[in-house]
Amino acid sequence: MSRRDSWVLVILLAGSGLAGFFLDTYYLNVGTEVITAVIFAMSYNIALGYGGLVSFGHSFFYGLGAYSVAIILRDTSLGFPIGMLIGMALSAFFGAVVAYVTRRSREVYFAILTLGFSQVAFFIIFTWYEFTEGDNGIFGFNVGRILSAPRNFYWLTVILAVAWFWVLLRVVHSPFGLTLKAIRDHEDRSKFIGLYPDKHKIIALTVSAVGSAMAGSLYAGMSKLVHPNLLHWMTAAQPLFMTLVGGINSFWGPAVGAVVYKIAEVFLGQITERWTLFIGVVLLAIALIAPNGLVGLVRRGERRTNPAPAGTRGKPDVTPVQ
Amino acid sequence: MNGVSFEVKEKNIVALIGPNGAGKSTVLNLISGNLTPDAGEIRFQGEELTNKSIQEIARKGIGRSFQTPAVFPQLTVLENVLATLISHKRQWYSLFSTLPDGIVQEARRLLEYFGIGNYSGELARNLAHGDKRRLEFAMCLAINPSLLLLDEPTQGMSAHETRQFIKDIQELTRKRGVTTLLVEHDMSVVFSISDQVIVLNRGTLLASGSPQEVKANTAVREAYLGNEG
Repeated sequence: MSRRDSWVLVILLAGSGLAGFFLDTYYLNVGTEVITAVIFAMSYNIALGYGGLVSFGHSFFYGLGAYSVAIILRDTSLGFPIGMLIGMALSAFFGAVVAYVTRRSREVYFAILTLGFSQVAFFIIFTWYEFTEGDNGIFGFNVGRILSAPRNFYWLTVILAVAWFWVLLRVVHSPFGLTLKAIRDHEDRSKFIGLYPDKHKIIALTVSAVGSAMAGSLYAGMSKLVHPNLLHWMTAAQPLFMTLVGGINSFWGPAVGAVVYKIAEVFLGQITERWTLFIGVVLLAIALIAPNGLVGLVRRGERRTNPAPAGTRGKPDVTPVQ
Repeated sequence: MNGVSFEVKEKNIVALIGPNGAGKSTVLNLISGNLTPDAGEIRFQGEELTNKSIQEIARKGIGRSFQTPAVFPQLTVLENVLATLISHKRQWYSLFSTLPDGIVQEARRLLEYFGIGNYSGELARNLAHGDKRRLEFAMCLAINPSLLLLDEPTQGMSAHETRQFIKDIQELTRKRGVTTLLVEHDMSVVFSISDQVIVLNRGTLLASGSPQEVKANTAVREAYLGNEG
């Protein structure tokens, strides 16, 4: 982990934490929603940016986290933290299952298979009325006296987010993280140095699923409402959009993309129903002008103002994931 | 392949030659586990390799290079070798630890050995062809090989680079006892470094012997070398 990353964590914790003293209830909830989106996108990028796995199944894990909290709080007295942990444990299990089933699939076939998983889960949630209340959703559950206060829930979200980002930083900078990137780059070649791509993909997808479930649980705790749409493929596409907008080749890129996406949703959404047009335009611009996303665009600008020393050979076409 | 059978002696440099489509790369693919034979067996240091996975074979100390240099393009030159070392040391499962002690120095030493230490921070995809080839060799050496399978290693190299390659391979054999089986079209390389030459043609073994014997073989001259060879 670089010193820069450590400072980013400190600033996020301190800055977001301090902001919690000054924001009113509405903005506390917006802040919580933005942070859960950041957790979702950054967890997703472990699979996409580091593992090369384009998944349309992450709504499965997100929804699993959300529904675990809702059902635990509706039917038991175990409390929000236990509900979230159960959701994360279930997502770890199903993440490993999905990864195992899809381990030999690549690219579009992998994407389609993960889409299948998320849509089967959507169907089960939608139709299992006795347990999930179907398309009515589950709402009004009690997260407990302390966490019912938006400020407390916001701070909990900030702490969990920073802790999770620290975990993800450790993972991506570990020997596992480096060999995962090698497999992403050239899976066939990786076998000739003794790596087992299947095992890496299972671990990467499991880690990614756990983070997605955490995001779903926090969303449920903040909104106190879960509905089958949380498992719909369009929810699965959101972290993909966020990651592409922010930059898949950067650790913090998905965070930037998530903030842009959520701010557009919340604030532009108040002005017009067509806020998704803005997202579409941004995505087009990213694809045409800045394939490395907004973070890549900033880095390109930095290189222009601070060019590499003379004698450096060539310049990278794609910034390596850091 | 049709009835191809040969033995590669330890610490020898063996060249596999033949016209295009002879089955040379197929032989390397069979040994390295990329292809599974329908019949026959492959043995390495007394152990059968047939039907073993690519990874199992790599872990037995068999390194492989390819016709087109196969590196990890979005990793830096240093990271390419680090990834290989991490796999070789079975450290890939460490999710929360830092890199093992000394591994970065070991990777840098390998890059220096092949003269690409200055490019350690460069993305592998940005390297010139010859440097990519040397990076591939560094990755092969990172697994501490007993056997190297090299597929047209001098393709695209300049005359100087080819001479350096010959020196490197001879030194590997002499100092580290590495056995090399290389597919090569450059006959000057083949006949300057090989202890044994195996000639394939259309999936069959045409000849096998010392460079002098193969050069003098009439059938080999007709099929491949030509009368000037």
